[in-house]
Amino acid sequence: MSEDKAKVVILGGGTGGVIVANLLGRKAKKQAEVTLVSKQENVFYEADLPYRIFDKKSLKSMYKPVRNVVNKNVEVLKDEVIGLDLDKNSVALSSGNNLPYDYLVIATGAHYDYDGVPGYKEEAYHYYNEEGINEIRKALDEFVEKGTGGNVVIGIADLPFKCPVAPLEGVFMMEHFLRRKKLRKKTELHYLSPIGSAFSIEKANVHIEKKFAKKNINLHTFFNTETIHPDRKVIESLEGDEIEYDLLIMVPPHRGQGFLQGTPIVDESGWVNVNTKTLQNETYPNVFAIGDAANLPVSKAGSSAHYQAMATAHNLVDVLKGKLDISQVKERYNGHATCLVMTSLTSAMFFDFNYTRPPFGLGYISNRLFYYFKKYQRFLYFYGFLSGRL
Amino acid sequence: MSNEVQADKVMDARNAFCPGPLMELIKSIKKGEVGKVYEVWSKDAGSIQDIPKWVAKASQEMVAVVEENGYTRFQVRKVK
Repeated sequence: MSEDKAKVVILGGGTGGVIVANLLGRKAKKQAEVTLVSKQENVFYEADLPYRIFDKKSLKSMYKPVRNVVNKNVEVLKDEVIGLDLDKNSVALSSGNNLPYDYLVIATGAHYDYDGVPGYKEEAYHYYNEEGINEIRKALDEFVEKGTGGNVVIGIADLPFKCPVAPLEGVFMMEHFLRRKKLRKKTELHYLSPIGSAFSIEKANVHIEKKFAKKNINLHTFFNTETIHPDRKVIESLEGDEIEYDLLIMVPPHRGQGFLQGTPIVDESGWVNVNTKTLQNETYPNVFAIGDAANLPVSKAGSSAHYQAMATAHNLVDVLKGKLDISQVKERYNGHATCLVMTSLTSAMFFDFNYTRPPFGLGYISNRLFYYFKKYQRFLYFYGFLSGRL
Repeated sequence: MSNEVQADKVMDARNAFCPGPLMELIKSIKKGEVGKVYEVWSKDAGSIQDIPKWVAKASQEMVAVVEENGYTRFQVRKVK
């Protein structure tokens, strides 16, 4: 490695980190020495998680080793970040090494704080990782075997959380699943939304709430979870409402990674403050944050991480090639996100939107074609999106 | 409304879109102390409806809604 090359360090081997690494590895190999630090051995395709609750398939196909999906010009370190010295441009790793950088990209995602809401750990199931899927499958099997139905509640423990459509998908798929198991008539389905509607984008919400009415799903708005009471099997909201449950499925509380807490670049929940269009920290302009780790007014989702990674990588390539000064990077991110939203076990809608534009009208039509896109999107993810070519 | 007071905490959510400003307010009220006033700034048109509706639903106190040049300041007292 040449001494005169700029050092770019990317933290996080998920969607955003891998895409930045691949673009820099291809487009700036002469100008930069690129290192990606990943705590995990594998990159994980999370968009199939709600689906995996019901189809019982193995999750094996959702993983690929980070090394196998990252350009060979990029050094991949399996290590954990334990600290940042932003004034000395250095990353401390759990192996004891310190990694100096000229440019830093933080793409370390979110961690789940199961203690963040009283009673969550004891009572709630979730589908945000493999362990959660295994537990929820067992609980659902028991619910079906018992055959008596009851109150199934799907909600959100705290905000923000990744993939805002995931709990909606959960409730729509659960509704279909219960019909298949002939338990729908014996089961009340409840959806708890922290805001004044089921979904935040008004135009899309109209279509979603129509589905709630048609499928007889009880929508509880302005329900911000405060406490879960295991003794009474009741969830209590900040607003003072209480809902009883027999089966409780809740998005876990999300927080920024521990090594970021207390650094001057994060908000009180540990999300990195960045400009909404350049994704650059305004105090430390050589630091960028993308994906779930960033404090942005947009969905925390794989698709937004993908577009943010492309924007950041293109700015960094221009900086590394001397075409742009770091203080004048371009406003390349416009809030773009896309979601394929499962509306039953065999249908989906498609939302494509940005900071200022709501989803296109055709996407609101729930259909089988979008479902097939969702079903097979994994291949596009591993062999297209992660490369940064699409 | 012109009952404006000195807020104990101000959240500038002018860069956030619906429901970002409301969520900033909810986060602060959730972690905040009874009696303190929390102020959120919003440019999002939806906040004009959402924030007062949530304040009423959560039985908190709307202290003031102040129109500024291109944005609105909402002051809410945590009462329980």
